[in-house]
Amino acid sequence: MIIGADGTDDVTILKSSTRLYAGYKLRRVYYSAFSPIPDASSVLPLVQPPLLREHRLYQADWLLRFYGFSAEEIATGTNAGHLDLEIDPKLAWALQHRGLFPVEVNRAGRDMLLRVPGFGTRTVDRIVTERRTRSMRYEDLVRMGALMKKARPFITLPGWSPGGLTDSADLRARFAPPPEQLSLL
Amino acid sequence: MSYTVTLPGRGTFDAWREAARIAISHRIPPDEISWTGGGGLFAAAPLPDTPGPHQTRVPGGFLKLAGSVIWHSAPERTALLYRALWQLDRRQGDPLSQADPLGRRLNLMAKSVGRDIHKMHAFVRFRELPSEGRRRFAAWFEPEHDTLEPGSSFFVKRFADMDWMIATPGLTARFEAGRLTFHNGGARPDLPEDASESLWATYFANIFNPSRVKLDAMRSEMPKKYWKNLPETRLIPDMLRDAEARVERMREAAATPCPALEQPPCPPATAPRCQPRPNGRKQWVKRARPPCNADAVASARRQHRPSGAKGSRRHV
Repeated sequence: MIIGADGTDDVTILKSSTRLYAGYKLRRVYYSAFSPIPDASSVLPLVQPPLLREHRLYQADWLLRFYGFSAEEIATGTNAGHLDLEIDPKLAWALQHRGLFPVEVNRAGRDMLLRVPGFGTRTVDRIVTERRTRSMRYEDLVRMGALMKKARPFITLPGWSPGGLTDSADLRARFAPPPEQLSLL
Repeated sequence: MSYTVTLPGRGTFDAWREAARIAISHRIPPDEISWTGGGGLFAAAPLPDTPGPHQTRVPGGFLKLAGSVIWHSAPERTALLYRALWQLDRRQGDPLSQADPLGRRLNLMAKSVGRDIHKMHAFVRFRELPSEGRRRFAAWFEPEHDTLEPGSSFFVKRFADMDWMIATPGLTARFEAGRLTFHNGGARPDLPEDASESLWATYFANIFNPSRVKLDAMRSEMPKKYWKNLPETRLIPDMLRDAEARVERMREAAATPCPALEQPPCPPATAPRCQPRPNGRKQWVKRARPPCNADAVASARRQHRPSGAKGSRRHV
């Protein structure tokens, strides 16, 4: 799908993807930021292609295909139908549903582990295999390659407890890039 | 160190496997073997020739992991693999798991080797050599690990009807008349210029989209360590420097109007299209239409229609 040539919002795009995946059994949907071409029609926007938006849509697409999310769930983390460009869609969803966190890594089901920001499908598979034989500790997750900076506020396990971090008001600000001074000239 | 093992440069995996099998059958602990040749302060003996009484069985995953890690450039790879085998035999931890410190290290090494093989398949650039009969090609490549031996089967399948040679600092692979042989590596050979290289450079420059510059993604797909042997990378700095200006020029040029679509609409028809005949019935009159731009508009629309739409036209 071409992104950014018209005013369609991200949730509408993700819903069409869901329809293509569920109704037509497509294996992949590709998103391509509209890139201006020389001598294009005047109704097309000749602006910088929205590459970051394209990246966020791919992240959301992965959530649809591998992480058990629905387009409606992803929509709860969006601003007026558009994915947050500053933080990834899974983190945006988790920040809106803090009541479900922190997740107990040694007990939670696979579907809930997949919803922890910073845990990918491989990390979750490794956790599920590993915890059959022993109790996981914080250092084990670091070693397995989980993104602990992102996951920390949302998990609890021997060696780590988030305390009040999960519900702290400035949690989003910890992940979003710092505000930038615009040019004054 | 009581034992020392020297492994050959080619067929390293089979040699390591044989040595490790003998060592573990005598239950020689990993700290007693020097895998890198040097015996330390005291003179070290080679491993016994005959296997000992102890037999060990390892999961298939270990052989797969070892078969990949063995090509890593780190000198401690063989010692680490034997330590993993020792731990598997003793049931100390799980050196295949990512949560185990040794397992994590070995898995990262295997991943680095796999990536290097993948990049070699993408970045070897052959140059044609003069020949009679089968076409001959040669390439120079500098891999990060010793990946030519495990990675060459791809080239055997892909270029089976040609003779080729891939030279690397450590090893040279020659494929002649359907047979692959390995020889010592060496310095970069002097290869003749290939005309198809400039054709490739022209293509590479033309598929570059100046408004989609993503430097991090580019460096991740095409790491800088491989750049020096890729002819097209010489074009990249200039293309990047000009990218912003090209996008700006394109934006300033804006769209030129399509001349056919910009003409004024047709004048309205004035004469009545049907007139009563003497017998009272109406008759359609064929009337010369005033000249207008409608045909040009229609043909311009036809040209602008994407080619895929043609097939969907139905006969009525």
